[in-house]
Amino acid sequence: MRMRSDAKLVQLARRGSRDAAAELFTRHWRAAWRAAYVITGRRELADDVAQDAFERAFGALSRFDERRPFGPWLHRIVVNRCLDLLRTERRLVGGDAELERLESHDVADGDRELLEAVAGLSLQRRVAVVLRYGLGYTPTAIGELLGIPAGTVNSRLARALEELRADYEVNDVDRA
Amino acid sequence: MSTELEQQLRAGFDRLPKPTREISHSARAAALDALGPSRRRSRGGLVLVAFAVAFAVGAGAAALAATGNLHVRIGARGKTVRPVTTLLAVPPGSHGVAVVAGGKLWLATRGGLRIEGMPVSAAELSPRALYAVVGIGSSLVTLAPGNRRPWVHQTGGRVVGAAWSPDGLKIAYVVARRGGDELRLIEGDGSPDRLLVRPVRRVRPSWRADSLAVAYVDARGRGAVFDLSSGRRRTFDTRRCGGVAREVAYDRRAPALAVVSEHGVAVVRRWNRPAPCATLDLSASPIAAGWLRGGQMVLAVDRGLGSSLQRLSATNLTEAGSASGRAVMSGLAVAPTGSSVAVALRRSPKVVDVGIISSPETGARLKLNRLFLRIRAAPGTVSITWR
Repeated sequence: MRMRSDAKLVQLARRGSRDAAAELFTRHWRAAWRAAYVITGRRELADDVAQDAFERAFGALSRFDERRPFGPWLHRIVVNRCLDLLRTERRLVGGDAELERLESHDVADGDRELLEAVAGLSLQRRVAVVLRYGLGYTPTAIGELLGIPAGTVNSRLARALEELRADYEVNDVDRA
Repeated sequence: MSTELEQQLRAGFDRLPKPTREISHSARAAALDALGPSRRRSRGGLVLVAFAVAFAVGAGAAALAATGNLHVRIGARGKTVRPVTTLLAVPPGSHGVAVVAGGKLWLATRGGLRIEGMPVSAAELSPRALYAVVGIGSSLVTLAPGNRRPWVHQTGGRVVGAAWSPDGLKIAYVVARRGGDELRLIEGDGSPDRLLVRPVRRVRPSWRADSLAVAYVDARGRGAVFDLSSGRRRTFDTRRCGGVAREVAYDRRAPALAVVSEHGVAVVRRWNRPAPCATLDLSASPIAAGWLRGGQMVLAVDRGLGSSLQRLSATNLTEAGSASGRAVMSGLAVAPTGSSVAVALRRSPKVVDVGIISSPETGARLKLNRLFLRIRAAPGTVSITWR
């Protein structure tokens, strides 16, 4: 059976098809949750952000421009919700970075250090890394999604990789 | 060209943990609900009939309006009012209130601390609501309005319940740990932190009025007390009084401890004396207990097809008053003055109302006298702190 495109599913969902909306949910749920998980560093926040993003996206589907792709729109909502939550939390608890460490009990040993290093990046760099390597967007697409120039995205990514390389390589030496 | 690090990042993301089945299921349901009811195209015949009926009704209404017996308003009918989150208001005569429902916190204090919908695992206000302590991830965090600097303490596990001592100097909290859940104690300024008991059940602890003992539920489901002055533990076996304990609540004014179990409640005053016990029928299950002024106890009971709020004499646990209704009650807190009760009533499967009920009288209907918060929240217990 031929897979229906996101655009077709959005069109059907707007007409009230719950099946189409459910298919759209299934297609994007895991990636949205994982993006929220790496950005926030905590399972319960990822649960909250991803669910909230879908509720907002589906609630606003009637206002969504059908000519635009659904995925980047949803991911933009996810990223914005993560940033809102983390900034609110930071404001309330006085900017303590300890809260944002990745809860990585259920991550395989080999990946844990790398993901912890990602969690240690600044919020802006972390978001760029998640969108680039977690969700597979190009720097230009990330720029459009975040509303910033592609050059800024490239610079954030380059600095993030530099930081990760230093951090991760130090960990590698420690392990050796 | 992609570097080794970039490849590792992509592979690492692919192997990330998945969301749990429960959250996936509830998120899917919530997302589909947000879509609204499915819209079906109306059929031609149906439209004609509807048009004819509308015309007839319209003509009749216009005639009535002409005689002055009916006011006609032209325009689209307002949408059905969807339940919305209301701003949490501090009830009169109190310092602050905090509500945790569906893993989110709503909090308002007279001092100016206000939080709406923040994801937390537990929350509690200090006496006079000057501070709040909340569990966020694996951290215990104090929050305060203005420039008062809060502290953050890493607990190494999810905080499932916290209680601020009546003297405001200590916080007892229960943290979920892999090797067994722990009851711990931390000073009000954030240090030091020490283990009191392990293992315990995931139940919010409760302080005795003199701040020298803290009640909890031990791993075997018995009500227990840790005496801070002697370091001794005492347990009360609630299995003879309705089964496994699920909540402990000390009277704020006297050393009387209510131990709420699956189908009953007991009041422990002295450990070497038999405690009065009230067992309920198997279809009824207590949700929470609190203490009113004058030593009476108030008990929220889930009765399957509804709920009741019972006022009991603490000496022999006989009923002194009761209000019941069909709404599902999911949380209870007594006013700082001990004169009224705040309850969480589920208005629909997804909406909870939190408000005040004056002391229940026999035969009264379970109905909020004053609403102070309406929120969307998934089914589950609602924790209310009222200072």
